[in-house]
Amino acid sequence: MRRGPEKRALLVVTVLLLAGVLTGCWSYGEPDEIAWVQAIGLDKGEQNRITVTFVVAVPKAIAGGGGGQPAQGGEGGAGTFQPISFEAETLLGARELLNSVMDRRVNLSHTRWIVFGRELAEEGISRYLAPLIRFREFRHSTTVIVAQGRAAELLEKGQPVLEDSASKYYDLMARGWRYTEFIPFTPFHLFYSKAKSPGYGGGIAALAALEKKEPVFPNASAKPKGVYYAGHLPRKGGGKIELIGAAVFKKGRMVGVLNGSEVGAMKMLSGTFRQTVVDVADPRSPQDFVIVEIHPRQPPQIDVSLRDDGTAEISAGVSLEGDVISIQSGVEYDNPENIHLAESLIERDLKRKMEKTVTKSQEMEVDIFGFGDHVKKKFATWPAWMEYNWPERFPDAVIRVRVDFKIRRIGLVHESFPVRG
Amino acid sequence: MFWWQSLADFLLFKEPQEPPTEFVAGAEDRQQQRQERTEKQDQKAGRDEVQPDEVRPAAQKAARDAETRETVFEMEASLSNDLDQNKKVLENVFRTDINDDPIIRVFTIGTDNPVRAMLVFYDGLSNKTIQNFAILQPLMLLSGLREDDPKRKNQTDQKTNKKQAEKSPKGNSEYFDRVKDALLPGNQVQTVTTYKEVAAAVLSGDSVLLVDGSDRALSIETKAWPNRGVQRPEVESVVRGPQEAFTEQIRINIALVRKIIRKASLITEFIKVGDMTETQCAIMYLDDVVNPAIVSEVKRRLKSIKADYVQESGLLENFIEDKHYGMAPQVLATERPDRVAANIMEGQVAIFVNGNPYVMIVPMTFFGLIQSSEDAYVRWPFGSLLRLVRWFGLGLALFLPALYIAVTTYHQEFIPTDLLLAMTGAREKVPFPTIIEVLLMEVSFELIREAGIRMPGVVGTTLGIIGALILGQAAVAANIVSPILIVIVAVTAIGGFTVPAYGLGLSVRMQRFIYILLAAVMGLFGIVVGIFLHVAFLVNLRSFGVPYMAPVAPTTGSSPDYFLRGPVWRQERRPDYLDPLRGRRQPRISRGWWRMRRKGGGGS
Repeated sequence: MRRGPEKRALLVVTVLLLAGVLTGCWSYGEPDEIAWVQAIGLDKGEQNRITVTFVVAVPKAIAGGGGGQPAQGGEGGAGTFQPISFEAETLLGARELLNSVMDRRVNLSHTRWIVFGRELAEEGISRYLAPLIRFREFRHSTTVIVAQGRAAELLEKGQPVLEDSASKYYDLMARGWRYTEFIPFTPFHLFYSKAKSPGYGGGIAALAALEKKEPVFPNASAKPKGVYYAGHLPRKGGGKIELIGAAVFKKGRMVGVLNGSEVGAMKMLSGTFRQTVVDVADPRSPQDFVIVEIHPRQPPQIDVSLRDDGTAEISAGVSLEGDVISIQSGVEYDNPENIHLAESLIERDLKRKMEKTVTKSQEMEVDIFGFGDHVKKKFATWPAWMEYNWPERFPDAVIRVRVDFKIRRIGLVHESFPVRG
Repeated sequence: MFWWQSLADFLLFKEPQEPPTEFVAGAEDRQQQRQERTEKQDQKAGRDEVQPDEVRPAAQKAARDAETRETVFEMEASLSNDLDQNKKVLENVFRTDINDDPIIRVFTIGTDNPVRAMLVFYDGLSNKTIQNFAILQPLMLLSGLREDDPKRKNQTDQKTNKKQAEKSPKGNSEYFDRVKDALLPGNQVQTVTTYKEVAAAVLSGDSVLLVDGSDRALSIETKAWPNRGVQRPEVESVVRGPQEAFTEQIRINIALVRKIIRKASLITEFIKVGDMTETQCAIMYLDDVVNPAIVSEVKRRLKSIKADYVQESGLLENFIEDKHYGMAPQVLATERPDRVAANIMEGQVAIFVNGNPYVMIVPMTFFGLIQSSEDAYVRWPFGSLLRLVRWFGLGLALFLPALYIAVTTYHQEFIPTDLLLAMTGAREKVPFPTIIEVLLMEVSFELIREAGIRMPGVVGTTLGIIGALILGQAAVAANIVSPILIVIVAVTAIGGFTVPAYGLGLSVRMQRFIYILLAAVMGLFGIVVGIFLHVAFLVNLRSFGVPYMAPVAPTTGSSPDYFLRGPVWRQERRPDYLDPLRGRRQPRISRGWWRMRRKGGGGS
């Protein structure tokens, strides 16, 4: 370079290029040099404090398999994922141990599930869970799940049936909260914020279990579909994992279990309900059912008033609407004059379920509905709210549930006729 | 590299210095140089005494001739009264002894009092028919006919005329005027007085008539350069719209624009550009619309150019652009007369270069380069859609490979897990890091593209086979690149082809590599840094005094026609940043049939 400005330009360019060198490609990593963890399981340890199980994806089996090899997880088979368990003191300590086993650098940023064994959950999980919020690699949308047995076993044996990729399997399983009432919506960030918030004093996690081999019910009496929870689903075939019900946590400790319909009631009252199918026995023909598909009409309306002694009176209004999808009895509920009969039938049923769930939660002394957030509005200052001590007061709160259900459509049949002959 | 230099200029708040103008040094210097040169020649000649004697006179003559030529041109010597003297000089100028193209035809004008004359022209550049029937025939055969006219005869007394010619120092200038006014039926005739002008006229295809006894000559328009007809545009094709493109002939090009804008205020100014060979350029503008400052700036830049060879609009662009390190083209080169006409109507200036089918439009903004004339020719929602597609294509061409690198190697949490695992699985057997993989494919693609333009058309199919088969399929099958990368490179290439201005497309091709390197070093952060610098550079740029990113930065008023394309009846104003003499293009209510329902509702 001959002239002054160009010389200076060259200098600037050189400095900029050198600045690029300074970054040293920090955190550069080829995707095929990273071991993608898809799920983490935590159990009470056998040789150390905890047992940590990692499910590591095997990408070549997913991308290159092309239907040749079905998923064969478990005992080191050439499947689409590889479960590895470590005895360690902490979860992230186990992640370091995993690096000494895997040839690729371990990365947690694609974790779908974090599963706690029931034994550990009952002992308390806050000391393992809370520190994760700080870790950049940990995805806050990870679903929190409690396994009925040991998490390690659940992850090892829980092979996807329809999917090649375990992460898609986990993802879609947990996504069931959108279209069924039985699965709660429990991403890590929600679980964490509920667990630490004085407005809740507890949280819930989805409940998962492996299929039970022996019969779980002794007889064939009629049971509503919602009474089941994971591990007690009478079935044969299908994938190994079942996801239904919820584990209730209080102060980081699992204190109880909700069954399917209790989860549904909880979701309707807390506003995470999206869709479900309700079947109600028809009082005019008790062997038959009226089946409707219901959706929320608007978010639950929670009204709170405080008595003089501080007891909260909570009135929860749940507005729903839905379509009739089946009338077994042949009663003309589709007749405009009779529609209100069907509506009140459903309303009664849902109200009973919700009241039972409220009672249960008060017995467990955990506000799983988030009513605390609404009670909080009655207090002008944070210290006043802290002094009120909602988790202690919740069992004594008077909670009334109102259900308003409207049938919008009656399905494809205009008028019912009994099936003759 | 240029990008970085301009960046550096920008960072240092320095305008790049113009190179020292060596060529404007005074004529004295030149004379001195020539003197020195001749002295050296003399010394050399003195040393070369051993040479055979018979060579010496020829060499001396050549040196003398060269000196005469130099004098003729540099001193702009005037023509002589004596036809023979003129002939001698012109023979020397055109080197008729060795050059067969120039023709010097001596003949006699057939008036009562015959006068010798000479026609000088270049064979092949000039039209034989015109010469034969509109110059030679009238002068040699028909000129006498007018003499029979009694009225004319009274006016001109040939004898007095000749006597006057002998006496007057100006020669027989009346006779010359008579030839010009009455005898020559050419449509464009100019009087020239110096040898230099004669040479310039002859070289551009005109025929020059010299008359004995006159120190002036007549340059008669007989240009007949071989040229191509008006054909369809090859680079900027449109579906709906005129299908004419410029040719290499400046006159035809100007006529193509004038055919569209039939206004007396449409001005064409011819400007000779260059030094060694003068290139004929023309600027075209609307006198009652354009900002005079822009016109004078364009003229100033064009006239100041002293260069050997600027026969091409691309070369001229290099001479007149504001930032020569610039990675963004600051003029628009188009081959479409309708586009030139539309821009002239907006208040811009068109620069025509003879011998080139691309016409430059200045000043140009970034948004102008993204536009295509088709945007205006389809209905406005679709015009806007076309433009959106083009913006998207520009974004892809610029950023897609860089984003791919950044996301796959730094920010894998961005990718849906299934896609990530699929990509990881596909990459398992590829031995190169992603950055090498991307560079490999991008470079291969650039090779294919360059080869596609340079290779002879007859072997074109070979390239298709090699490109598609070898690079597309075999590279994946051989585990050199992963299949998803082929998709990335292909989409990038297609995005690049949507950029309508070729110059902008080239700069996008180059900047893509800068972004790739930034992404490889710093991930998304690097891309963001790149965008920051890029935008800073673009905002800093000016084209003939107009901010390059106008009307966005600085924000100025404009019709709805820069990012998207608004309805044509809402294009009421000319671009504010051009500061035209007439800002309003059409009245507020341009659709006369439109019935206003309420006050102020005409525009919606």
